[in-house]
Amino acid sequence: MAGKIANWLIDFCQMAIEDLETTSRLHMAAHELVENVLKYGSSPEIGLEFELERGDTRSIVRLRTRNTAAPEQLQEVARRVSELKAAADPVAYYDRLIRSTAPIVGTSGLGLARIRAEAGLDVDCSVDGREVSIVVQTTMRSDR
Amino acid sequence: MSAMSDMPNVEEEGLELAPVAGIPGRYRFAGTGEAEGAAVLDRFLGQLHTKTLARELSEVTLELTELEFINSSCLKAMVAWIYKVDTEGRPYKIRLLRDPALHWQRTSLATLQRLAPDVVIIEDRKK
Repeated sequence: MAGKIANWLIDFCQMAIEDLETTSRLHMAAHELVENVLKYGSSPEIGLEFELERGDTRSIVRLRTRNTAAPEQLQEVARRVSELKAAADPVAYYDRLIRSTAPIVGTSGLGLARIRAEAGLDVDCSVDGREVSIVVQTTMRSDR
Repeated sequence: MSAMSDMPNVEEEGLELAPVAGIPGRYRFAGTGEAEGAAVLDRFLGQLHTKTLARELSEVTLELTELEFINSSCLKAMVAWIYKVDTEGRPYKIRLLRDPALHWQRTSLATLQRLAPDVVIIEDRKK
């Protein structure tokens, strides 16, 4: 299910951007974000947006998800994103997270850190009431 | 079940996991691994580990070039297996055959190698 939605989103992205490397990074992020929404979302109403902000030399590509979730999930995602943003070296943070969670059975908790470290996208989130919005973005050279 | 390897051919939840006929310790993974596939992969890797120890093989090879993508839940299954091998005496090496044209394979397999550099070997697919 998550893969179908992510692939559909990336097919849509490819109509707007031709940079295959960026598309591959967005593909990884889309998979992880959609998976999280399906796993933690507490209502069938979700938001999934792709945005391209064109500049003269650089453009910003952005994926955003919105969903409601249980209060403890909202706290947990805010904590994870805060830690991720504070990490001076995202890859070192990701490696530490992988090593520390490796012996633990169950949920991976690696998705957002993977987006930051492997896909190289900036990750941010905001919580408004019961709704959380996750935004991942990167810049790329404008094709003009 | 393959008589040669005593390991199952698995086709579940978008994943294809199978021993390569005639080559002990060599397996082919294909498809896409989403959240539902994590348990399938975890179970297969557990069986693979047990069989590898029983046969006292010094190396396991995974052909991953047809593995289109795995999400972090499936990556976690790989992490758990590699961590186990690395922390329980390193009884065998793990060789991962990748397609460097796939972005996720370049980044995620490098991540697995950083987890256990003395265990994981990455090799690009032979053209």
